[in-house]
Amino acid sequence: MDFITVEREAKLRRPRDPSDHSTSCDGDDDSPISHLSDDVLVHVLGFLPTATDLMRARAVSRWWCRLGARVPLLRFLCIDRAFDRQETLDRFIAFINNVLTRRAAGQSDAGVEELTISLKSGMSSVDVAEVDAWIRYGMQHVSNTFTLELNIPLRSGNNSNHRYLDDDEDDDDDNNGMILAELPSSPRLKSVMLSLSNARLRLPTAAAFDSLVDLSLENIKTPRLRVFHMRYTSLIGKLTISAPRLEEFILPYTGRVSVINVEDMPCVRILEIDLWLLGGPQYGGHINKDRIRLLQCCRFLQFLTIRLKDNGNAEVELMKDVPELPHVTSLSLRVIEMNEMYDIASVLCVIGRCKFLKHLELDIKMEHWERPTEVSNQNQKDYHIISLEHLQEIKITCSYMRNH
Amino acid sequence: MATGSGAAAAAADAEEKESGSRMITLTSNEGKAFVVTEASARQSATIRSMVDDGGCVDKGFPLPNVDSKTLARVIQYCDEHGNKEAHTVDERAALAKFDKDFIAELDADKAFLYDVTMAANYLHIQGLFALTTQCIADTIKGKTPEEIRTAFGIEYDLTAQDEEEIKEEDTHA
Repeated sequence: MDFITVEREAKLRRPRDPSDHSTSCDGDDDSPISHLSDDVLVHVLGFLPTATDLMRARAVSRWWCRLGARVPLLRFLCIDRAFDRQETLDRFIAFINNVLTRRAAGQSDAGVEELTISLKSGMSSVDVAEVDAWIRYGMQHVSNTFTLELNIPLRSGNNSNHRYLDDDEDDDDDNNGMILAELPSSPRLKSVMLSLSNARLRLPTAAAFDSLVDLSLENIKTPRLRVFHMRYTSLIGKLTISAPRLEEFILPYTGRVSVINVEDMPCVRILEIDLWLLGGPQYGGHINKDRIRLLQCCRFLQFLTIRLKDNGNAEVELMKDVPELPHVTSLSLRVIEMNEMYDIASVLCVIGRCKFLKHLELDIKMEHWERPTEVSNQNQKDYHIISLEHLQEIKITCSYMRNH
Repeated sequence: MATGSGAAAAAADAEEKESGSRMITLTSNEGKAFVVTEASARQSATIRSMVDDGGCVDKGFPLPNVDSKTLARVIQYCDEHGNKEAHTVDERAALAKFDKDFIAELDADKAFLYDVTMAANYLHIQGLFALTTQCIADTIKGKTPEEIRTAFGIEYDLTAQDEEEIKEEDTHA
């Protein structure tokens, strides 16, 4: 090991500390672990499963402390029951924020290539302002992969009388949604994974919150964003994306995204969406219109997964707007609670748009169906218009759901 | 014509066989030569690129950063992964078992484990490097700083200021 470098870097880490006469890392040098080079030990520390482990490792010695700050992967995982205590969780959040602040300050600490924040608890809650700050941090400071998984109640402000997360679907829509400030641009981020179950707040009706009710990814310039997954974000009101180089777009379980606004995304190869009607066309109709427009924006799709549920006959009309998708080679249709003939018409309509299909997967869950297997096969045969010359593989699964 | 192409195919076959069984000499920093199959040597990205660049296969490759004991152990890994197939479930299971036993044995001799890690890093043997670094990380994880110091024989050398700084960051400990 190079002592000179070690001493110099150690000093650099605390430039405002004139009394610090760094000693060399004698302790480490006597131990076998000093056989490892700095880079290799940084690599080893990167394998530690959580930021808590990394923190403890940094408290081992001066050498480790310095190297720990160079680990570009930060994983804050709170899945322990202990975090059901609000106090414990708050301390953990302060820890997250301390580490993030320090990394962002630069100096000798390495930037963050991969940031994971995963909080799970049923008892304690997180201030939505923290979530907002993390998302902004992720977009601004993370260079590769940003994962935010929240399975935890959110609250607004420090008001202990906060109201959050009830399942009353009849709320005024204006009061629902995540608070998220406008997101900054992210020139480097490659992969964003937001899993925000419970991400629903009842906000005070103050005007200041009006523009923040929706998750809006409007105006983020993410020219290099290639992968975008959102799961369980069922309560977000609006999603507006401009990501011209997006390749993978996963949007399942988003029954309540009322507006999806996308620009042309010619690079998208993998798309996963749902098309379902909830509570009548006045409610679900425009959801599906958005989805179909999404399909129109992703003309060069290759892998398409669609979840269909409970379509009424109005939907069949809508399905006719599904564009031709000549590049789709792999189509997976998951039909949930099929109970009407309309569904088959919708399914066939989608299949008919993918003329060059090679792999087709049809997964049907049925309710009250008399002859389930025959019907799907029969319809395949009867629908003469669809000719899939390139089809190589077909997989049809039907399962029965019985109501007891 | 048919016989001609048949003979050409046979020649190509023979050549392929020959390159498959080509032997490569690796020399430790103590000057000890180890003769290994090319498939085994190609586990190392460093050697692989030298071979592919038309490097001096005949003269062999001196490895000034690796001692004989470490090199022998590294070769043991490369032989297993380079010379054996891993197509079937059984073959993969056999390799996984080899890895498990291999790392368990290394883990018993920490200083040697670190030497092998450094050699794997130097030679860019991805699988071996991942195996050893993961093993070291597994020893660290879930331990308090004091337990880590004990496990690795590291002397405490943090100043009060270092401690203060770490405490400041680590509010949840």
